[in-house]
Amino acid sequence: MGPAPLPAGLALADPVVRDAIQAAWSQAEASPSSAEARLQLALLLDANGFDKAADTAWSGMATLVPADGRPAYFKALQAAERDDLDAAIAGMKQVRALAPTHSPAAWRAGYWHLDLGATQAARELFEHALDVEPTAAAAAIGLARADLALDRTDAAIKRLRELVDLTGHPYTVYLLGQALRRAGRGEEAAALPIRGTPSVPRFPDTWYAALLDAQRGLDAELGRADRLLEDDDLENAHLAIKRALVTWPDNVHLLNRLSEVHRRSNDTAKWVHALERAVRLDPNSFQSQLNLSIALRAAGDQERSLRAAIIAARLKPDVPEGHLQVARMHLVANRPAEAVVALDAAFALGVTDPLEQVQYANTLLQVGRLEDALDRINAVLKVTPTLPVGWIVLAKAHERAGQLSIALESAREGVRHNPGDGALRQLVRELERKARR
Amino acid sequence: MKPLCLLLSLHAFLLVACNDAGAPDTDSQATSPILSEPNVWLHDNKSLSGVDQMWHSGASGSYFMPEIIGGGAALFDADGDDNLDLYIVQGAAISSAGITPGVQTNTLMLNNGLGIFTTVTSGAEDAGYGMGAATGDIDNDGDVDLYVLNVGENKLYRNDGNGAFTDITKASGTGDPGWGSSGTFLDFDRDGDLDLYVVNYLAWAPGTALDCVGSAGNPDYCSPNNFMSPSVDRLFRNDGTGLFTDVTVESGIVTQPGTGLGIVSVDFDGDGWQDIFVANDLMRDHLWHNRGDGTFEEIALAAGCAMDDEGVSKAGMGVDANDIDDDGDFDVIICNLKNESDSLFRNDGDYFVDITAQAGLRTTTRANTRFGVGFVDLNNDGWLDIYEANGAVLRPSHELDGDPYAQRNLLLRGDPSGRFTPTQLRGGSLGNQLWTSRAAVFGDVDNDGRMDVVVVNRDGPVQVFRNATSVVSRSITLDIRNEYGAPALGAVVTAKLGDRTITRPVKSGWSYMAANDPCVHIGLGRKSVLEDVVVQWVDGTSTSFGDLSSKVRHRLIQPVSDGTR
Repeated sequence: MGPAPLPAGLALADPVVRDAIQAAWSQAEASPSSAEARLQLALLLDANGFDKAADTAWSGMATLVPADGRPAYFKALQAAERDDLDAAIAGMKQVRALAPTHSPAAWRAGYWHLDLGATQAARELFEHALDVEPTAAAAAIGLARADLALDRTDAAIKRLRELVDLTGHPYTVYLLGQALRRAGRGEEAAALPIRGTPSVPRFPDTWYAALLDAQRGLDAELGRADRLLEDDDLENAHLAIKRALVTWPDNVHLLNRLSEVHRRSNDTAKWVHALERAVRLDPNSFQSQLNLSIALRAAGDQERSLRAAIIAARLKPDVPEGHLQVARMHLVANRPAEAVVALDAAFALGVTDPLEQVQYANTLLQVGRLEDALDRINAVLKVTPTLPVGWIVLAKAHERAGQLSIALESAREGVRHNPGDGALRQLVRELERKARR
Repeated sequence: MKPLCLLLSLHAFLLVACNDAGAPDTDSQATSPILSEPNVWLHDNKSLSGVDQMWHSGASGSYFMPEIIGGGAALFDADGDDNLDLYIVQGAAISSAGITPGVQTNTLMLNNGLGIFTTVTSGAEDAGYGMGAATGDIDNDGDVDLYVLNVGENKLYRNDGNGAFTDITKASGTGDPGWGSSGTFLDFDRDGDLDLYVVNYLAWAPGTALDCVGSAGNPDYCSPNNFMSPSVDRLFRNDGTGLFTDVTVESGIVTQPGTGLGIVSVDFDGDGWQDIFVANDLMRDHLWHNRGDGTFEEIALAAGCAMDDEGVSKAGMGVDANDIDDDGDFDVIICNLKNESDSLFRNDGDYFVDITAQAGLRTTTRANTRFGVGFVDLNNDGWLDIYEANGAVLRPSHELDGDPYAQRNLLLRGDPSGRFTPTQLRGGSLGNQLWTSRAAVFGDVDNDGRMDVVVVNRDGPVQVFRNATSVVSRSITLDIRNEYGAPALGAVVTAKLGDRTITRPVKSGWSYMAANDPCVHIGLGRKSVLEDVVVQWVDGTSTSFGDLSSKVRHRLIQPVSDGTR
């Protein structure tokens, strides 16, 4: 028996999606006993949002190849998507019977149990997944989360430390911080460096990867490029973007991603070139103008970099990043008076980065707005006292105000917070010398 | 899934309460019409309340963001008759040229004590693009003043004592021009007067609006991330006479811009100083720890409540804080976007633990986009329930008839296990309740000892949901006043309820864009007495009020400093 008829809505789909599904359907019809053809058709339907047709296709494949766990697996994922976790959990139980070595069938069900608050059941499934695949990070993280929920904090900390040492992923660092704080070890937690976004990572799952590969269309290509960039897989990201540019040659989002590949590859000329092309295609793209400004600065072309930054700031006056870039370029050219205008605009909108705040305070100091500089630097040091440069700016501001003793005390306070900082120690010595005169 | 359709004949009639032994009790708790249907918790009857208002978004097909974010309301005693009056904030028209003041202005409706409201001219008929409201007595004259949060200049109205208001925005220095969303009054410096925290959402103006598309390629509202322009909140210090100084920079609030929508202020760490929790949209939430020296430190990440255990900066909307586990400190719930569950954090004293899943909220809440939220004991069984007002911000890929953003609200029943279970009747109410809901405002509007809920709907009717739960359970209402006779925002009540010790904060700014009744409402179940009631005041002193009986609204007043009161 051949595949079920194509969904009626297919005619309205993106042509790239439609053509891919039609080709897969023809293949499945031509080879009705081919499990591979059925798999490809079902994956394409599932990955591109034709849920009902995909469900039928998975059922058809299950009839054709009853020992294959994948139809039940993807149907369980669909059930989870519908928030029918009971059905999803039951489906994964069936998958584990059919494909006992596919660990995601256990750890995915474990996470669903976690969502339902059935922590002990979740824990058992994570342990089962680790029995099947001892290096399954998803299962190890799940086990740590279950231990945290069960107030087995020490066990969670031990496991998370191993994971942090092994992967260094920001999410494991975040969870370790959570666990340490729960154990009353806040200082250890504060010392943990979280770099990047600490959200749940994409765990390896070969079956699910096939589903992602089956996504078609521009959004899918952009998503694919982003995933590869996130994995720092520059070679495959480059290939994927180039391939997509064949279909969408004028897409500035693809070009910005291409520029990112070149930036990370330290190829400044290509980095600039990709963005120049993006700007030619859409001069009103804030993202392209801002990125071009950054690239041109790296290429040493400060004048054009400033021009691009100014255009970006004009395109989106309510976004601080454009103004900050304008300010940076003025500061590079030693024009603090112009820089402070841009910084005022950026900070009126809101800037969180403490280093940017220190830069702002320093620029305020340079242009003689002493009171503003002191307010700003005091505010940032209250929150982030571990910024040596901030204490230096504070001390300099007080010195500029003729308050030498307060300047010295500020520098000493900075050393207390940052005992290893040579520049601060040097400043203390200088101020002590001046105070003695 | 088929929609739930219940066709019942509804009759409003008087009930008589029963005491523990089942004998009739002609207590005044049951003086207003209610429903007896056992599964109905809340009953919406427009003709009964007299409220015929709606929040007009001004939507004209251009998809300006404020249209999908507002609006709010306030329940407070505007005219000093001890009844909760209703102030409804209003939207306006937006075009790329700017905001045109609304034809419909903000409205004050006075309550006759039975939950029947009448529109009056108050002087607070602001015509700006309104979002939310905050209430508090800024000048310690015993009546409650009003702050309105707008897209554009906010407004401060001084209550002149009889429900008439005077616009003192300019003189007070509180007319922040940003996109204000929620706000709250709090005495952060413990100097005896109420200061003001203003939550700002985005640095945004109609001229910088973007064209965004939904999942089906149709024009739709943008995400805050499209603008990349978080905004700085504002903190205003009261000089004691109702004039304010902007202390945003020196307090440290300036250091962490956000995309704030919801706020609640309580003393989270028990050090006697009011802290502030701000729910941010697609950014980490902020917990501003009050250092007690006029400055704040943002500690949400270190305290474990910036994100939940999934490490995701969710789309924070409404927020509330209360003691859900009887351990004496305040736990936090934050509402988020569809596909993101609520985040429920248990306060362990100096650290918050994500207990969303254990409380049963991970899967039950993520089907909708939730805004207004409150921990309230709606069925007076002594355990806090959760009410959530829902409505999408993006069109669903499969278009529905009518309002594409509409979603049913959610009511979750709390019980001693610590879990919250959706009521059998979704949202606790009957009938077609499909609206795009935003603010949920809580208070006992008909003085029957049961908490009611006012829900503000985008381009839909403002709904006054009367509590229709059984009156067998008792309750007590504590109207806690400072030495000047104003609601003692920031005070904390502890009391014994059977073998439990419960702790409740006095607060008005919580939920979403809402000012709620600051009275503390406590369900007693079958008990008739709340024992060992102690109020800890903002200045650090405390007063014991002994045992208090149910059925009565008790006014607990802070003794004046010489102890004569």
